[in-house]
Amino acid sequence: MAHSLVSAPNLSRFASYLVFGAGALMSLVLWAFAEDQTMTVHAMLFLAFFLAAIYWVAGRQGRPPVAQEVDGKPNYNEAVVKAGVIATVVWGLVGFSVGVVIAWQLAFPALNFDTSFINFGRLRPVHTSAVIFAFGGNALIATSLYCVQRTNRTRLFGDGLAWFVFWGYQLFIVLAATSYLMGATQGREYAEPEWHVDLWLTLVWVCYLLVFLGTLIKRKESHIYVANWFYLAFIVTIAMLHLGNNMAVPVSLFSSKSVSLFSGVQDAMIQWWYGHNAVGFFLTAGFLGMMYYFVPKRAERPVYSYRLSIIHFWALIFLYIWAGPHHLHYTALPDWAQTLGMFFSIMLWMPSWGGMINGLMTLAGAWDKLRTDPVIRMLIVSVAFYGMSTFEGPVMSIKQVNSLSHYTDWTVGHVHSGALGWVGFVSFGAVYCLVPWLWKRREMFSKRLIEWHFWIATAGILLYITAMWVSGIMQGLMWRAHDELGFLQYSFVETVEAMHPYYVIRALGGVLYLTGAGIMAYNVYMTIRGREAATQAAPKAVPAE
Amino acid sequence: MVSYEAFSRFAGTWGLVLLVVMFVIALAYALWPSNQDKFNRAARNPLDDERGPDAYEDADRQPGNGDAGSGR
Repeated sequence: MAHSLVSAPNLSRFASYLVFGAGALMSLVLWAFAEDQTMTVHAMLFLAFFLAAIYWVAGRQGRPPVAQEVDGKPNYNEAVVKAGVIATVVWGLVGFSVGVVIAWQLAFPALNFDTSFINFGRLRPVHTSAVIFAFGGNALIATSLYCVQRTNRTRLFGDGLAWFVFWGYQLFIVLAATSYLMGATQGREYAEPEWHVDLWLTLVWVCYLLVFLGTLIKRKESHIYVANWFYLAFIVTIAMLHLGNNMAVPVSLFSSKSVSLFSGVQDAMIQWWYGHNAVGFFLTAGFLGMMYYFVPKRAERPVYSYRLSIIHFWALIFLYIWAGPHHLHYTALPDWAQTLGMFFSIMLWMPSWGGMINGLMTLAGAWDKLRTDPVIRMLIVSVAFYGMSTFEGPVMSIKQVNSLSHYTDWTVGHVHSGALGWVGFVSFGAVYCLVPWLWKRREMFSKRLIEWHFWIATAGILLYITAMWVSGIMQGLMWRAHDELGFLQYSFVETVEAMHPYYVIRALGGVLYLTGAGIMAYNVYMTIRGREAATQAAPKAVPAE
Repeated sequence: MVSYEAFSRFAGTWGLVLLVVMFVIALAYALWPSNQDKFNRAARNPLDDERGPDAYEDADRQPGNGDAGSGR
């Protein structure tokens, strides 16, 4: 029938073949004319991706369209969320491992092995990208796609599109990591991938936005729950930041090398406008969406104040975008811009703590859960770390403090109290919630292992941030120390020698944190396999209502 | 072509006023008394979802779990 030939599934399959076929052809051309090793390898990866996509679309031919509802209930798309949870755990292990490796490299430079491929300079962006974008990004994508379906009582928009977002994002991660190892980088903090990888991420990100917005548009609830606002702000703002920061001209269409459109201090300001808002909207707004969904859900109590959550949201949106210049204190950046960045950073303390109070007080009247439920404890401690690092940040943004802390390990410690404590723990908490919910298990394989994970990782964070506080402040003080004649008291290498013990302590903290993540991976694996530890077979108590 | 001076003066005056007004509107929306009922209902949104931690509530067809969930 002519009618069925132009039906929606046929049309979308035809479009998929067209797009992926064109992609495969372009990859071949890229492979043939590639001017450097990175581009050659990436052309092969692109080609493999597009061929796999065509194979996947062909395999789904003739399948009936997925039902939007089953038995009058939304037929939630959980498969793509499951994939995201597994990816989160796997990339977490990779990212933390690389972090541990580079921590030991800093303590013992011989571990660079005198090779270019795995030296600190190349592995460091692999670590930051793996933990922020691979671990954190997958956690954000998985939880956002779960939350937006549940809180809007509707199935995810776009089945194939959601899978494209998931696999396309994994390809982005592999492209980014391989290019760093091969030495291709834009040299922009948290935005190291070169222009062709940036274009690919743009495409994937627009599809992510379409999936999220499409689900919101067909929602069954009149009011959009606040967690989705945070997720949406994260998606939209990251798109804007990514496009602004990565305006670059490739030296040739077949080269992985590009040149930034901006230069000098403007370039630095664009970089840190991006860099700080990546912290604000990727590592904060997105994970706050996680907090506003998983803390109430796990505690089985509504958020402490919904009004506060709205004020929290808009205050963050209006303030965060101006804070970037605090990364450029005492540079060629105009003084007024530095002061503006400092001022807005200090103001940010208010909404941050408003949000922290909102998350913590959600447990009001149920504080016993902190003792009985290690998952709640993980989520609440993550919110406490959010409060701590959003207090430390404004303090460090003050020019006089920054003159001591900038370029020292104090900054590294600050970033890690946010990343390990806030981002890491809230993601672990979400994983421990999601795995039993998605795979329909009563609870995780072992609650005791969650306890072990919590305490080992907490000890690791404490070792890490205390070592960096001491090392960073010592480093800053040594740099500025001078004798009565005004000569500097220490040479640079003396400060490096003095930091060695703290680098070892920091690496040990990283090992503990990685160990905790390994325990989680085992626990997740056993839960998915359907195993239950013998000690917790008894049914949990059900509160009367 | 707008000059840098004109643009920055506009941003520092009318731009600031615009952003402050927008933020005040957001505050008014959050604190408007008649919105309280709506927000109370919205706050319960994740809890009134029929699945999640209470997955066993509608999973009666999975025999042997013996746990009805909290039923919210």
